Amino acid sequence: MNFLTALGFLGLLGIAILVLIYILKPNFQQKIVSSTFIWKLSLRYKKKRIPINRFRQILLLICQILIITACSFILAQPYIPTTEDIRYGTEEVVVIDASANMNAVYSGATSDSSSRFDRAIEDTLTVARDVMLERDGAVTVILADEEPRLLLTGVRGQEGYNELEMTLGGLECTFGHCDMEAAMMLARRQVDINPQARVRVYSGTKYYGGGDAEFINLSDNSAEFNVAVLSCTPTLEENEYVFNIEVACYGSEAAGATRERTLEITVIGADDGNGNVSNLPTLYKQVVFNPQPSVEGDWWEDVQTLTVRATDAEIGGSSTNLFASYEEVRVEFRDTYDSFPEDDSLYVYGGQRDEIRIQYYTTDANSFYYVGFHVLQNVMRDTRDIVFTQVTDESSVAIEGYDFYVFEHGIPAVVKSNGLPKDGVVIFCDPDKSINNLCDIEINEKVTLPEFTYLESGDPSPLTQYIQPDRFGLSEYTKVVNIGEFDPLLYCGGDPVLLSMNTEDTKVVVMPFNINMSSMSVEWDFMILLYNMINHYMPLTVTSYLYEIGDTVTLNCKGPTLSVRDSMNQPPIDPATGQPGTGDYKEFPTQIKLTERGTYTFTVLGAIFDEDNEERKVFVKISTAESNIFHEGEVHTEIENGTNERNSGDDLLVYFAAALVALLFVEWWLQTRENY
Amino acid sequence: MKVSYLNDNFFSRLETLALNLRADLAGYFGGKHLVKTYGQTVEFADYREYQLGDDIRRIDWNLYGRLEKYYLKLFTDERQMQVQIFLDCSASMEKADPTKAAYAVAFAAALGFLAVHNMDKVTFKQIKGDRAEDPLGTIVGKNTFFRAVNQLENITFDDEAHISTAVTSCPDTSTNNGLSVIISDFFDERDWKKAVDYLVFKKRQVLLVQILSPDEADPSYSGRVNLIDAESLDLLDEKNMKLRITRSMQSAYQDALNDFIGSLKEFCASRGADFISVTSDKPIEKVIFEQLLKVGIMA
Repeated sequence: MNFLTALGFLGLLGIAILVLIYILKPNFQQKIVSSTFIWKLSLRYKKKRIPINRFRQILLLICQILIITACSFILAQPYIPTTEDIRYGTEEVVVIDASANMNAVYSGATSDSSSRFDRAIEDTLTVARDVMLERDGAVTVILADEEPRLLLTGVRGQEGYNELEMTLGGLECTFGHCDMEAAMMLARRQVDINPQARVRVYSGTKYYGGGDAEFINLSDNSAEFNVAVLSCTPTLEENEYVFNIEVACYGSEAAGATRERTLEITVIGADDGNGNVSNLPTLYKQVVFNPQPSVEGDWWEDVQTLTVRATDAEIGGSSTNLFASYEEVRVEFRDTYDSFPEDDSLYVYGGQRDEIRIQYYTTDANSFYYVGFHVLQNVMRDTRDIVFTQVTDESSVAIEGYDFYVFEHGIPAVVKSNGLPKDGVVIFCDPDKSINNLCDIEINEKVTLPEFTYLESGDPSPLTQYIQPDRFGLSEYTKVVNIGEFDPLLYCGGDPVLLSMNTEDTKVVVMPFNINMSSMSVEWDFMILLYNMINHYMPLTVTSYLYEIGDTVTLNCKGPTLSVRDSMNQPPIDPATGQPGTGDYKEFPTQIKLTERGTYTFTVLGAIFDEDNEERKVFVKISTAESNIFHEGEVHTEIENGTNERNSGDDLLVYFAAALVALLFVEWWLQTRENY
Repeated sequence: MKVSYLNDNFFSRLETLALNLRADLAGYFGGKHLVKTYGQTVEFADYREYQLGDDIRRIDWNLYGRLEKYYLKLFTDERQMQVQIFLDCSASMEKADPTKAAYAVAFAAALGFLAVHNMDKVTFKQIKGDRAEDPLGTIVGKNTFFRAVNQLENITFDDEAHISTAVTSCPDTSTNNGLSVIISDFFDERDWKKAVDYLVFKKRQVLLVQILSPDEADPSYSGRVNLIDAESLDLLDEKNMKLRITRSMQSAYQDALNDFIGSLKEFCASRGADFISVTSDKPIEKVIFEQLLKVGIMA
């Protein structure tokens, strides 16, 4: 066993201090007695006792010594080195950046041109040959991606070189970020083990800091540049989609010449609102990049935000190109070849809104539901189309084809005879007793309250999220005598007045009171309840349609199962295990990590609301920071060659030391107490 | 503040008691203690046949009339005893707890009162160093006693007291004529034993009274303590000791004290002396009525 911070054993001095405190016994209280004769006699009696009593007397001291010893060991950071850890002599610790910009190649190069990553591998092998075969040294390789790791540790000799060559030969660069700070921590650990080791970092990013580590910048200022589509935000303005597209060109002074490029925008699956779906002709937008020195760092850039309309004749559009929704919009630079082509295109999804169909049947129409759903129609217009149908004629009531069925004051005969609708959520407002035959619930007579009574909370539920029941009340409700399998969400005077059932095939909400006998409808809570119902029963699968590699997305599903596939049609990485999962998710909300560039497809399987499986797509792009292939960074981990002292400020050692001192102080204080 | 138990109430409560001394003591004429010898009192005791040399005036002629023999009429004898009260006047009796000294003085005074109440002679011997001082002289009668009591309260307790030296060198210790009482804490293993042996040798009735303060009987202090002996000269005196007093140490102290008292009792029993041990927080009347009655000193 070795110790990373042998100086931690200075803490053992605490034992000497402790013993000194005990020996000095700083304060004896003085007591005048008639004679010490009996006390002296008693010493003989004391000596007769068994040795365990002596042990008991110094038990506290022993415990304190053990605590101080334990603290000192913690300070000294013991570790058991493996055979690989015990390394001396020449060693190169190579950190290879595997972030997206390392995929950059020389502009205008042919397909066999090498990327920054390739050059890093090649250079590593060159160094390894020199160190391992010529100088009998060792090489350690760290791959710096989102989760940096040691690929090889202290390999040496011909055999080690062969292993290194095979390992590096199988490496691929990622399209995500790199956590250089964590990679440098790993490197410093290696330097702690072998103080003679030197750290060499291969990266396309210009890093500041890092102490004695040698950063080899693989970017080529004279030959590399990158044109990228950074984002595309579609907005609906006066019934016309407008695309705000952010594009950029990055380079150096040498590569920063004016460049003219053509941006192609293609709308796939455009719906004119009348059910006519077609692909619109491609739009061609000329973009002239004139890079200038950046104020943020040592690179040149030109970032532009373009506004594109499909009706713009200058880019090939026409007035007939109006569309109400779209399936996909492709934005791409196709006429050029730059150093990093992976960010030259970007797909936009989310142009098709979920349609929520609501049927409202009432025998005594009031405006609360009508207004409520129409307000939601406006609030949710970016993500959903709410189609509201009010029915007052009992014969016109449908029991299929809607997502929500609202029955107020009475239950239509068609429901009584055929049962509850199967393809949507059923909401009973002020129902009559016939509901007893339709649901697992039993209601009785109406209860008229002597005075207006405010509500109380019941079981927590997403339906009552953000609702404050003490803000509104009832003057009359129908008493529910048996709630069956329903969950009581709100109470009035001890009786449930809002109940819900949410099983795989039955989704029912019961509000056994007349909205006219409640102040709920004039409070925000009524709108919040309707909003919660839609969001709870008809959740959006994703809340955004454009992500960057490495992002974590939260998924919801209105069906029992959600199938997820990445751009390679493979199940995504499970964040919990770090391994590819099955791709089918059954508990929501759930989170997945987006690791691949391209289109991810989410398919809702087995939803009761739609016969067809609903499909949603999102696009995962290269991060904007990585598109700037000349971006700069900073590392705070300092590498110090020739020393293996650890920086004590970055861990808890200082707290342990403080605890040690505090322990001694407490002991001293206890000893000096007069009556201790 | 000086502690005193001596007042009128205290002595009035003792009026009904009397010392019960052994009958084989000789004593002096004029007392109230019945002794085994026959004397000139008016209380009939026995008859004895006339012997040559007897005073013929003491022949019982009525008995001669019936029996035609000469018999003398004998009467009981009452003697005056000498009560010596040796009071340990060392610093150990007062310095740590003044009530202990006051209690010892009160106890001595109580015994003295009982003595003069029975027309005995009392001497208060104050043991200071190697000497037994007797500034009050021999006290006979209550008037003299009460004058002496005022001076008793002014006794000073300091330095050391060597009981054996003081008692054995005491000049007026007569033989077989009364009671000797030693009042001390006896916190010395051997110094007092010679004194007892000496008094027993002088055929005196002997009573040892050990007085302890409550703190001595049951120490309440604990922790790291520098115990300063009341008779020590300075802090570096060998009599002082530093000690970490724990519960086990207190328990050992109790064992040591109990064994020491036991050894005192055992020694006294082997010499025919009486011994009582009292704590100064116990009322003196209770001690007199309970413990002195129990050992037979009081009647």
